[in-house]
Amino acid sequence: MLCNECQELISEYIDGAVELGEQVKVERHLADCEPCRAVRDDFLQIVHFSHQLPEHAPATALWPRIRAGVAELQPRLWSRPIRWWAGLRTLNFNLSVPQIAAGAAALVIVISIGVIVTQRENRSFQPIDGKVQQADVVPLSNVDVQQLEKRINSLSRSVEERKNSWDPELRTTFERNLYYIDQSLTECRHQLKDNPADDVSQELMLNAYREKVRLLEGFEKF
Amino acid sequence: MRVVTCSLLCFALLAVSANSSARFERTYSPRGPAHLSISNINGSIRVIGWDRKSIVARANADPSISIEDQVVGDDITLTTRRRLSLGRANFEVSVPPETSLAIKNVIGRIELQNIIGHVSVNSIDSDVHLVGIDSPSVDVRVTSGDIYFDGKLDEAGSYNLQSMRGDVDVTLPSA
Amino acid sequence: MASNTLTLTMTVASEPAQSASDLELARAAAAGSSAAFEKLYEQHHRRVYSLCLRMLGNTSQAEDLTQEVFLQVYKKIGSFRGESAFTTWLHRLTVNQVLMHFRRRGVKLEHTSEEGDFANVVETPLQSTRRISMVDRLALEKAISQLPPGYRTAFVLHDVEGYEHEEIAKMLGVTIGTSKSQLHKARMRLRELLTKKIAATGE
Repeated sequence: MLCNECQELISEYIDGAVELGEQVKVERHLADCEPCRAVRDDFLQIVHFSHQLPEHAPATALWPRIRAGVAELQPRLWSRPIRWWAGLRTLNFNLSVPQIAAGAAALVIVISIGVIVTQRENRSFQPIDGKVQQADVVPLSNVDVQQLEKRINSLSRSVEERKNSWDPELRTTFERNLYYIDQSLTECRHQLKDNPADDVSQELMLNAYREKVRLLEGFEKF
Repeated sequence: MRVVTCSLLCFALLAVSANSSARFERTYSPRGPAHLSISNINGSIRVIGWDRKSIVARANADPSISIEDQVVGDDITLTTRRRLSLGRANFEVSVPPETSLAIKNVIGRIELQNIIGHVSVNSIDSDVHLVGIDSPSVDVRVTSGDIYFDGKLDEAGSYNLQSMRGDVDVTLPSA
Repeated sequence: MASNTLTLTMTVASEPAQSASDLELARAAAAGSSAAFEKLYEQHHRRVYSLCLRMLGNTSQAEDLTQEVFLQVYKKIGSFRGESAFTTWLHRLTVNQVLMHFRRRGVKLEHTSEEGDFANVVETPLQSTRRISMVDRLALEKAISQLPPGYRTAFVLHDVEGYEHEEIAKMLGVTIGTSKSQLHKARMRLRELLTKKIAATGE
């Protein structure tokens, strides 16, 4: 074995990665060759010391920078307005909150035509991306809608009759909130027109109908 | 005893000035965990859990408003009735934390603090502020208003925060 | 058009337990505990920084990269499941950040030999290994920083950080043969730099 052949293998040799046959050849060469031994020994030193390199520390000002960077990432993740059309389906948040992770049975947050966010068996908040996962939501049937509309109509008639005798503040509150709910219903209907199988819109619409009933029942007594 | 004296004093003041707002004040001593219902129309409602066993309910109400209470065992109901016009009634109630609450309102801020009993809030136009809540069930429904919740969620609990128009801000403790 | 905002804020946890293991801290941090996250930084940032510094050879770049690493840690800690040691996970993340940094700057890690293969292979018999053993670690660090990026990466990953060639090859997107060759050339170059230094300072 020549020196340059030996030195080609020296790294692998000291790393214990040469085949037995080659290893024997290398060792035989090393026994008789001081320069190659020097290379081997130097490499061993380098490797040895490289295992003992000290740890360096960055400037102490680094942590505040990181903390500030992290604070920017913290939620407030959802602090931008969530618009229905802006792509509920493209929103993709995965926020895991410990109490939820511990398994709160159900946390439901409903924001009108925005988003239903629930935590179910999976341990993170997810906007329902086109799919309502709970088993207890009954898909909206025409019969349901008709019944709700019937109830709403009868309540509305009753409320209309008395509305004029209300305080202005009360009347304004009623009309404003009715408007919000109707807006919600309109948007849900639009969504469902484009996609009748849209579970999310169905649930929101059902909810909005119920809200309307609640509103009317609440004001019926005035 | 102090409470009674205060009410008497307040009523005395009322006799003097007909235009001042009426003051409602009651103390209840439930035997066990109580259920408190407040049914208001216009005004703020504030219920705070404290370390006493009694329930003290105070309200400032416009003269056009009357507040009635009804007690059946440990069930206490406070109801606002409007007589002539829609005046305001602002409630300030102190309860033992394990009291269950059913709050009904139409207009006005609702604030609950330090409650571990069941919570139900039903309103039309209210900001709802829940702080220090550690309850097995929370059901908040408003048509418009912001909901702020700062409390703990129970593993087997059920929580519903609903606002048709408003912000929902939920703060939960980390592990 | 109605628009609503949902904000979810996580309150800061109380201090994690004193004897919290990395896994416990990671879980707490994933759950939102900024105190746990800070503790993880406290315990691991030196190693991360050292790796970055050795790979980049520049303190301010290394600090920037350390910051990047920990922001990544923050973002991804939820996905750390404890199948490996936290240090391993963190390490991988760090190496990835360094490699991305190199890629962004168009730093080529694979070198064809500049000075010709094994030009300095045959040493004069007067060179003795005892010289190198007198080199302090600073000299070695300095020599490492003088390596071309490709050699330096292979050397730091293999000899300083203990990765196997198979892993290095995968990380760098090269063959195992290339990784071995880069390492060998790095060691050769270091030897050359260290002996030169000793020769320069006299003995």
